[in-house]
Amino acid sequence: MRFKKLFKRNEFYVGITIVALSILIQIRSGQFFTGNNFVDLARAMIIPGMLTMGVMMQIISGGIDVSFPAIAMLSMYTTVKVALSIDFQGSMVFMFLFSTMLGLVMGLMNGALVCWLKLPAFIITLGTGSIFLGFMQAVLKSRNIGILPKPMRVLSKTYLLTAHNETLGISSSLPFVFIFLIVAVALTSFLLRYTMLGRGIYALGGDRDACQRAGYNVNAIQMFIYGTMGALAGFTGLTRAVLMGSCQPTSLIGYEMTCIAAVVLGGTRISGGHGTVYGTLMGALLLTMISNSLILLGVPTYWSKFVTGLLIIIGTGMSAYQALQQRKKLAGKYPVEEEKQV
Amino acid sequence: MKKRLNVGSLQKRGAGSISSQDTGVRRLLIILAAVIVLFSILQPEVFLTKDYIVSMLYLFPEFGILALGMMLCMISGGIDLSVVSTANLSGIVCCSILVRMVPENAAPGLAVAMLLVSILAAVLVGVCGGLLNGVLISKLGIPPILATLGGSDLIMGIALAFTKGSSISGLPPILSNVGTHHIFGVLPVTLVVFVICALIVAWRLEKTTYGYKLFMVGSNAKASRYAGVDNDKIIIQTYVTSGILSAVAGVLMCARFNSARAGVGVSYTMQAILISVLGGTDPNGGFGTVRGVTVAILILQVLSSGFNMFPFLSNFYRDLIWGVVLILVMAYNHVSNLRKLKKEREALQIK
Repeated sequence: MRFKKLFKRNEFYVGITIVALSILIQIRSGQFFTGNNFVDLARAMIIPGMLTMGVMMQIISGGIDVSFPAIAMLSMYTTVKVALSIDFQGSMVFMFLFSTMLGLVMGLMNGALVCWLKLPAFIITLGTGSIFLGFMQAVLKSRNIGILPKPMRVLSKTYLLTAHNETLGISSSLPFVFIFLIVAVALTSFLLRYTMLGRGIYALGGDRDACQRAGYNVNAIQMFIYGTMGALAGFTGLTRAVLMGSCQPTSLIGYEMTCIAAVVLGGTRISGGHGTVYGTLMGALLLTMISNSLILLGVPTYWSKFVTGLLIIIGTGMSAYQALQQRKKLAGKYPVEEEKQV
Repeated sequence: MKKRLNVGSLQKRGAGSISSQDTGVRRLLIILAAVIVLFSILQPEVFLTKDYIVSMLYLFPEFGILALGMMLCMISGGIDLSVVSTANLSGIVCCSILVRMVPENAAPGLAVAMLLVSILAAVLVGVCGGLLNGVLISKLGIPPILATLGGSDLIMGIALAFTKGSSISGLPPILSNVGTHHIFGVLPVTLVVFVICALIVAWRLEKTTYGYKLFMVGSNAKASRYAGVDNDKIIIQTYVTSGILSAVAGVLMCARFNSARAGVGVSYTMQAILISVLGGTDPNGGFGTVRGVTVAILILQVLSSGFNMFPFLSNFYRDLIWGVVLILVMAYNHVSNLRKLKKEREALQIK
């Protein structure tokens, strides 16, 4: 019985795909199961891993946010700019705090609009995202900043470990900020699994009215989720600048779709109420592998978009089709359609 | 609350009375007039010239046609995120046919025939893209936002793989000659194409049973199902129409740039959604008019052309202002809906 359940889960198929892909890459290039490749993958996982935690919580709650890359970029740029202008030499903690607060404010704006207007969050956040991005590019006249403030430069040169690859003669280092990913994942798991708020997030996505009648304050949960997403985006934005060693204000444009794809691929249902942390991480890992390692397979990079699209359709199609079949079985000859949601 | 309003608008449509949709369009027309007057006062020597007006009329059809498709999908309660990908792939197919098939010094007859063939091929690509989205949404039950997101990546991936990421140029002059032609020197061909598309979409929406069923599906899919509507068919038709419109827009884009490349005009998706919502289309489905969308397109084009007149304002201000406009319009609609609902409720209590 447990095995039967396993076969129905998206996570299972994503796991199989990851294993198959890694074996395939190993056979073709011999470079997959090497220390430095793993370190590279872990490094590439930091940003998508952190962001998808927030995106997953939002999708579980039945919402969606496409403005978080704009929030991340605006918080990052503002923080770096402010730090440079006052020649900041203090602790990195304050810079992260500042960036996180900026993100939090923007996230709460999203949350307030979603609670008030009761329109699809996708369209509301599309609008606010355009505002944030426009504000950064037009009012702040954002440009690439090559030289970061000193505390950031120090942090970006701090490594946890270094892996050498003798055959290729290259080595890769795991940056210190990898710890942030671990913390983000741990906090999200704890929140969703062991707190009433976490239950509330699942309940809200499962059935809004039932959630309200069970005694949850729906608006408060939504404000929390959008606020968290904003704060997380602000924090991740600065992490990204540390990781890249420079501040590139437009480097995250279009990232929202990658993150949503990773979350959905990991078995989170876009209609809400379902989703797991490890599934999301696997989804993010699969997409990272495709963008990072497809080249090791000898597949030209311009195919990666095609593969991503195919994976999204297969991944979502399978669970959607199963749900459809289940409903048909339950309803006999007359399938009752769920209302389609944007 | 949502349901009642939608059903109300449907009933009013059927009765043919002066309904709330006209107040929406009137409101947009007032905004349009205000924007035009504002720019005419600020920069009369640039804004009111013939060239400037013609250039505005020449530019807006591209994303206007995309917005029409987006509106149809939104009326059905969905969304189409693949419009730009479909437009790109159609444009690429159209251009590569022209490059291969039309020799350097081709006779005008052959060139025109090949142009028609290539446009037909582009439209066929649009049909396929729409069919893919429609089948994924209706038959597999994938939510529209995901199905079209995946479809978009898939179509864009094909376009990228087909062109290997580079652009197709060296087109025979026939496409750009036709696409950038101004009839009698003032009427751009693109405008004519837009008017034809808008008229066809309006006719389909208001005068055919397809349109009526589409509004029903968007208002309440379950109810329309029990009323005997083939929801799947309507949804597939809607996304195919959106695909065809995207293909037309893609060909127009190629004509303007005189080349085709995957990834051109990615920001148009956002603009098409914005126009559609600004034009009064209900993102929850069940309501939308071609008139409203057309006026919304004009407002945005006048705004962005107007901003171009001021050199100290960078193009990025446009994103900022469009975002603000979108949020403000949604907030205003929300508040006025609440007020209307309150009035209805009071009227009921008096009875």
